[in-house]
Amino acid sequence: MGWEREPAILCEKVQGSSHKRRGSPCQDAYCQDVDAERAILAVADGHGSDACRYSAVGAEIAAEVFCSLLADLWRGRQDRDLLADLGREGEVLVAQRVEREWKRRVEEDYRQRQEEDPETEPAMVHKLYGTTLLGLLAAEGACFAFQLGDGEISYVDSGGCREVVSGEKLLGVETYSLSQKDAWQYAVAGLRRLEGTGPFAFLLSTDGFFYSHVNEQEYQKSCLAYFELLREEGPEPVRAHLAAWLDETSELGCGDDITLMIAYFDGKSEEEDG
Amino acid sequence: MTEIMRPGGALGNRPLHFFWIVDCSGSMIEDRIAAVNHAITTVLPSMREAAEEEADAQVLIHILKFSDSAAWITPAPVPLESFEWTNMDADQGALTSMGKAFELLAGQLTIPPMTERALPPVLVLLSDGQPTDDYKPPLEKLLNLPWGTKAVRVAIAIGKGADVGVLQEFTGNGELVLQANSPEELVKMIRWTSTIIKPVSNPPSRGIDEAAGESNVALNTASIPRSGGTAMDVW
Repeated sequence: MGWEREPAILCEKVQGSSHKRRGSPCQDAYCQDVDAERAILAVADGHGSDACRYSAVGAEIAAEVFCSLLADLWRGRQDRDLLADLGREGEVLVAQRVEREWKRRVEEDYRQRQEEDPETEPAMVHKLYGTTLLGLLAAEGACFAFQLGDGEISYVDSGGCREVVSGEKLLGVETYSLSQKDAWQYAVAGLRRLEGTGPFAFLLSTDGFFYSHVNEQEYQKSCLAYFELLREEGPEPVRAHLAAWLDETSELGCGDDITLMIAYFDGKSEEEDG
Repeated sequence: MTEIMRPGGALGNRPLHFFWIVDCSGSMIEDRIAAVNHAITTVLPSMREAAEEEADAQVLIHILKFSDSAAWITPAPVPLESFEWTNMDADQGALTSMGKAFELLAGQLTIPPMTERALPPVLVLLSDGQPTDDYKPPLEKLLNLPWGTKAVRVAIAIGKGADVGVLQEFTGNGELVLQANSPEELVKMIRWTSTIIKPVSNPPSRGIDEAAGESNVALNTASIPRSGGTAMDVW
C-alpha cells in the first residue's frame, strides 16, 4: 500500500539575520528520504555556542542518523505494522538508537579532527557537536513524530494547525540536546492517525521560526497560511519564494537561523491531476 | 514568476526585559543618588546604540526603587528607544527594604506577565547598604522562579558600606558584584552592565548541561572594569 502520489517536500535553511551580522554560519541541517510508501524527514539545529564548535556537523549527522534509522526500520518491518510498533515503544527505541548512533558517528568525526584539535577531553567531545533533532515518518494512515530539544512539528489541514508532539520548552536559550548524557530520556515522540489522503501538511521547523512570531497563535497562523498557499497555488511558487520568506522572517523576527521543512499531501491522484 | 507576499502571522523581536533596581535609602542621599542619575543618563545613548546594532531584541526598561518600601517607577515596561531617565531622589532617613524590592521583582518575573518567548531578563541591582527587612524569603522566591533562575543578575556595590554578601546572594556569582567607589567608577560599572544587552539579544542556543549552574547567557566577565578598591572610596 502507498500513497496515490508522493508528497511534495519543500525545505530551506537560511542563515539568521543576526548570524549574518556576526559572520557566524547557519548550524541547521535537514535530511529527507521519500518514496511511494513513506516519507522520512529530519531537521536539526546545532547549538552554535563557542563550546559547540562542530554543532553544524553534529546537526548534519543527527538528521542523517534519523533518516537512515527509520529507513532501516521501514525496510525491516516485514508484515508488522511499524507505525503501531513505534507508537507503543518508539519514544524509547528510536531515541536510544539515535543517541547511540549519533554519538558513535560524532566520535568518529572527532577522531579525524583530533590532530588539529587535541585539547578536548574525551568526555567533552559530544558537547562540541551539540544539536537538537526533529524527525517524522509519515505513511498511509499514520505518522510517527520524534523530538529531542526545541523546535516545532505541526500538522495542518483545513481544520487548523496542531502540534504533533509537544516538546518541553525551556526558558531562555537552553534546550535539550543529543549531546547530553542519556539524551534519549529527554526525547518525546508520538503517533498520529491520518484521516484520508489530504490535503494536509506537516511543518518541521527550528526554533528560529517559532520565536520569530510574536506568539504561538501567530506561529499557527503562519503554518496555516503556508498550507492554504500550497493548496491554492501548488508547491512550485512556494518553493521558489521560501528562502526569501524565511530570510524576511528572521530579519523581522528573532534573527536566528531558520529551517522550515514542509511535507504537503495534496490528496489528489495522478489521474485527478490530469 | 509573480511575486507573492510572505504568508503568515505577525513577526517581532523577542522581548528583553532590563531592570534597574535602585537603592533610594537615606544613605544614598545627595552624592550617591546624584551619581546614579548621572551615570545612567550618561550611559543611555550607548545602550540605545548597542540595542540598535543588535536589532533582534526589543529592549524594555523597568525601574524599581526601594527605601522604606519598594515601588515601580515604570508602572509598565518602556521600550528603550523611547525611554528617558527621570532623576530619582533618595528619601531622607529611609530604610533599605531590599526584600520588598525582591517581592515586586518576583511578581514581574512570573509568567504572566513575563512570556516564555522572552529572552533572559537582565536585573541590575544598585545598593550602598544592608537590607533592613527580612530579604531572604523573597530573594529565595525570586531565585526559584523559572525566569529568576535564568535571569542575568548583576549587582553594583556603591561604596564600602554595601553588603557585598547579600549582593552576591542575589547574583549567585561573586564576579558579577561590581564595586564602585567613586562616581567615575559608577559610570564605568553601569556602562558595563548596559553592554550585557548585546550577548543577551543574540545568544546562541545552549545544551541544558552546557549551562548547568550558571545564567544561561555567557557573559564576558573579563571585560568588567577594575575597581580601585575600597581604599579609594570617596563616598
